[in-house]
Amino acid sequence: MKEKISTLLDDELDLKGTSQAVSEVIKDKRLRERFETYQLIRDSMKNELSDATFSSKSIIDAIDKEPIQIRFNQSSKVASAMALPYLSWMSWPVAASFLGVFLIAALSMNHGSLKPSETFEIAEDIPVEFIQAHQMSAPTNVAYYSETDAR
Amino acid sequence: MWLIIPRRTLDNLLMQRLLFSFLFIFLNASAFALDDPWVQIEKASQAARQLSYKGIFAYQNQQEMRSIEITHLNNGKEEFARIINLDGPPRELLSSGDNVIVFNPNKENVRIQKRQGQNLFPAILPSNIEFVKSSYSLRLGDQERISGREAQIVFLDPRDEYRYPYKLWLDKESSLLLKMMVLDHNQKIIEQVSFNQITLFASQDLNWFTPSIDAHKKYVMDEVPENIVSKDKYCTISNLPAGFREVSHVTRMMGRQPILVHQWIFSDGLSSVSLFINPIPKGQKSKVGELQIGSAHIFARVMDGSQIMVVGEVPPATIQKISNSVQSVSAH
Amino acid sequence: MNLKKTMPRLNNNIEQKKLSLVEDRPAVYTAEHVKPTLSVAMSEKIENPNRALDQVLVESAQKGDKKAFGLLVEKYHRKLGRILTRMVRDQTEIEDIVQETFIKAYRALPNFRGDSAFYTWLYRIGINTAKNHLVAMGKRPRSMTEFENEDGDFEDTHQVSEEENPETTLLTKEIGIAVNTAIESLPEELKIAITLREIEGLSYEEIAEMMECPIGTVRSRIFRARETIAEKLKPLLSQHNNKRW
Repeated sequence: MKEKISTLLDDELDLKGTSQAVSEVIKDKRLRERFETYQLIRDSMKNELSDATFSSKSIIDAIDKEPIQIRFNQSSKVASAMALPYLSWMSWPVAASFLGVFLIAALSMNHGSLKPSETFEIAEDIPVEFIQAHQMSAPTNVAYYSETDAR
Repeated sequence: MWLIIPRRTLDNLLMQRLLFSFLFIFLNASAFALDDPWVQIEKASQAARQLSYKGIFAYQNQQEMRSIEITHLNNGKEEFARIINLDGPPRELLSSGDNVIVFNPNKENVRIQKRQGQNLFPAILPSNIEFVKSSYSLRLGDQERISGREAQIVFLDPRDEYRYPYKLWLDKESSLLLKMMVLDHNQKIIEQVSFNQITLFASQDLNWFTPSIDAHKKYVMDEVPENIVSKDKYCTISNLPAGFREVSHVTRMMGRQPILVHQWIFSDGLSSVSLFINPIPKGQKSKVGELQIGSAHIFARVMDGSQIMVVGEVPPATIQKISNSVQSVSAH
Repeated sequence: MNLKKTMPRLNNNIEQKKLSLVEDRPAVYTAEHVKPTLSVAMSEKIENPNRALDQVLVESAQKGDKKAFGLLVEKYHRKLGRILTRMVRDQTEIEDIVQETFIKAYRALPNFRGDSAFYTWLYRIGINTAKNHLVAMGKRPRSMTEFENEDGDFEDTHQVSEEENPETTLLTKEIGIAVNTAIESLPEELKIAITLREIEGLSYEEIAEMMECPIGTVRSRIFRARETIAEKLKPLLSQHNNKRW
């Protein structure tokens, strides 16, 4: 197995062999250390050693803190083979000048049923406006889909 | 009575049993677990953004139920979505990247509004789960079928009383969030969102990305001033419930006058709470008390002539604690 | 075996890119576009080692395996550091820039489609990161065009001269010396094999031809050479590990 790591690092395994070897190396700490040592030898021979880059630990630590990145669509290399969506924006029956302007409005709202637990002195539609403001700006929201209507 | 087994056969039997137990472990383990089950949450968070899918889901809370149709596409560069309300007035939302526009038809016209980019179902899981880990613990459940697909149940159990438990159904194949339940401390369902049908697609065609236009109605832009991000140290906030961090602080115009209100949003990664503070305008009654509307709890109090209101889909104790975390409000 | 294949391959890449820009081809790929890319990709596979390994590591990382990305870091972080040192003289900043480069690369990983070599892609991110860093510090980047036109495969065309060697502490110097000493004392055939592999960058097949022995022998000689050197490094490395943590 150790010899396989040497061959792996030289990229002299076929694709299947490489896949297998990689999954083994990833799982086994000692194999990883061997991989790292062979790479260190290579970097030393090619004069690429420097104090600043001696240890990869801080890089690895930083990557561990990153949110995991996953790529799902493994297929098409063609990214832009479609009509720009902005064209369809502009074909609406609304003056194009409006499109650049970003505006907010309250959704039409009506009351949800109030279940006050204490006497609540409150102008009736005000808490609903606050709920709406909360739902519209909260970073994640399931309750967005509830229609707390007012007005 | 001794059963005499030749040594070779014994070894074989042993090997077979070992083999069998390894297979058993392997089969169970490979079903869903990786080294770290939290990876599934991260995958689910990414899946909602990176995959293209179309489906219908139902949202329900204690009050009501709504059916929503969603089409979501990611072409590698940008995300597009169209979300249509299937019950009641045909509101729809279109988003590309962070630009969100909502079409709100009523009897005479259609009002067009811009919204802030938001994480909407199924993209409600945070991408940074380290944050969530400190407030919730993860527990794997059984597998269930949801809208024709095999799903793995994942429980996110709160580590303290300041948040509600979440129950998630993650698609085994794509990790997409298919169903989600928020339960209260009595295991009663507060909110539930679930796909009834869903298909993933690979096409990059964007023909669906257009609002349905009613030629007979007038389209009107709703003019409301934007929220402004505030760096104003308006008040001292300390002693928030564990796990809740400030996510944003804006000012907005609210109410009939309207008046300037400061809004903070705190989140533990899954649930979020808004804190509103504003000076009480002359002639207006202050609001005090607690209230529940739908799945949202509200608590209001007064301090130093300012109105403090807290809103969120979290336990009342959390709302209280956040309200109490406001120590002082500077005179403005 | 034509050992000079590497040079034309580099030019091929640049030529292909120039063509597509000049002729303003449509975004949709037709069969005629696919063919030349395929043949370039295939010849790259034969002539450019480290494609299968990088490909597997990238794909595993893209499926969520951070450790696979860690192996890519292991493979390239020093090489990247050495290249960027030529742009950014200050050693204390190199570490930050290299780290930032890998973080950016990790974040952009879902968008990496594998139509260029991973190291080329990483290298370009590194160049940009270093450039921004210099600009942010109010310094003008040294002869930028020289770096921007390169594919990152410096060692084929450049020699790192002595004075360009970055500073090292006693420990890293010691490691360099230890490696050299170990190689010097290797049996002849192991020494030749490892030198042809690492310094000349030859494939096993090419080395087998030059040393007139079977490929299996080449594989085993290189392995034994590495093992011997690794043994000699052991005390130094454990000393380093104790010092650091």
